[in-house]
Amino acid sequence: MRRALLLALLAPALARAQAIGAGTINFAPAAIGSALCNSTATTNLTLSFNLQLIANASVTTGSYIVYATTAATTTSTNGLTVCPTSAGTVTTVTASSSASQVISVGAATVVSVAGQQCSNASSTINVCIHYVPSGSSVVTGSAVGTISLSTQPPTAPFIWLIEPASGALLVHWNPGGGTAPSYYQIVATAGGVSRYSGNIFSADQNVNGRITGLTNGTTYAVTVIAFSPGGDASPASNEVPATPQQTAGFWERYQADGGKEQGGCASGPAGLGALLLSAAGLAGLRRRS
Amino acid sequence: MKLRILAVVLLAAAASAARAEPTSSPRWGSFQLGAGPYTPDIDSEFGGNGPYHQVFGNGQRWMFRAAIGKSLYTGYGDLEVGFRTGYFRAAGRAVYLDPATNTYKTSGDDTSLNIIPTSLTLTYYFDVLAERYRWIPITPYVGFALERYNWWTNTTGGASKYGATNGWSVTGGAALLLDAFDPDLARELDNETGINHTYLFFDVTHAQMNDFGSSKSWNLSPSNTAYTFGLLMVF
Repeated sequence: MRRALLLALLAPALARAQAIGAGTINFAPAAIGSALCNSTATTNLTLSFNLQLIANASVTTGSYIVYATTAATTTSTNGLTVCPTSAGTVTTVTASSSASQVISVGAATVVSVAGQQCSNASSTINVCIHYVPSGSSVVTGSAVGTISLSTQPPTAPFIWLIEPASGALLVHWNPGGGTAPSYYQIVATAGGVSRYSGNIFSADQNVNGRITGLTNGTTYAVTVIAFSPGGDASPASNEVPATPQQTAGFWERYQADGGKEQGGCASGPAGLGALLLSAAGLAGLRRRS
Repeated sequence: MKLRILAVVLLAAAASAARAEPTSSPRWGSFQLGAGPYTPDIDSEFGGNGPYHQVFGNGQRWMFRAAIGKSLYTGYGDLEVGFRTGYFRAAGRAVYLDPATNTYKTSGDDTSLNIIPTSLTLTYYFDVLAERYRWIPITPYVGFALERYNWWTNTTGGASKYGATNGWSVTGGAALLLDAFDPDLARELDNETGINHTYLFFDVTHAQMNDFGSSKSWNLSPSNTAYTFGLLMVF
């Protein structure tokens, strides 16, 4: 009776001790947007992964099987984290013992195999890569990752302030509603030519970003575009005119006001001499003590 | 009669309090960390309202400092020579001349003034009473320093400017000996780390930071009475 009780208590702990998890998968791009989802390309989603192998296993001849599912992952009898048997197969490729493990698949295939549709606003898909040696049906290595399906663009942001800068503009805006933006771009247009900022990543409600490479004195029509995690662009924000200006920093302002300081060491030889003389005095004081 | 009894009681109390402290490890010097509000008096050139306040505003900013000292004389009090350094930064927005109103307005560019002060210090700590009497845990001190403020200014997308301003300062302060609150812990700290004493200090400084009156220098002296507080460790 006591032995049975002890086993009952220890069994979950023993089971946990045997679990060895899974390797990881990095996706490029990091999410599936509408363009990617609706594409017929078969290699537009790259899976870079490292396998977790069971003890004493190695990758020799065998296959990598890529699965996709919205169901939760599970633990195999040998302790690996794997996709459940209900998961659909995306592709099967010949295994490689190379240190750099990369498989390219079609994003549309991943979505459909997982039972999803591109019209779905958002969902999360678990992707698993199982390694199965030749002549065996036992999974001896696995890697697991999660990719989001995000095909709805955010709504338009709203610009509430633009501050002129030297050859640049500092733009402040609020995100719109709907899908949470992953990043933004500022667009400044003058004379029919548009200039774009880099991607500005922020999850804040008050966002600011800088667009550079502009010409002082030229008035630009400025808008901001928000992008979903899948890269779907929002409509442009309200358009605000702004003009970069030559600015004066603290030093320029100080000089413009007629300040005496010139930079460098203004005390010159007299100041340096005073410092050295005092240091020598201190050294002499120490010798006497 | 009552006066005699009172005198005997007071003498007995003083005698018990005046016991000698346990022996400390040999004294080498001190180390201190401190901070205090600082506003450079740059605007004194402009009658008080100049570019410093226009760009950086009136907010209080802090100068942080660290110092190390070497004991020269420990016979009656402690005379130390030392080196002190720290950091100060004021950041704000650059301005631009608005052509519509012909007035200065805040721009989207950042600008800053940074100072790394370096000082050669000579300090005398009158720690005789604190060493001998636990009930007087105060060490007054005075100091003189030769100062060199190394500074630079930055503006987003603009040029930087570098320089150094020399000067001097005198300091007076007092340090509260924390050992008095738990002598056993202090002794343990001394045995394990060699830190003889730990103090909280507070001092007031008068500084002249204008390159000894050079006509080509701005004034980086504190615009108000400069005080610093912090932790002092004697080891």
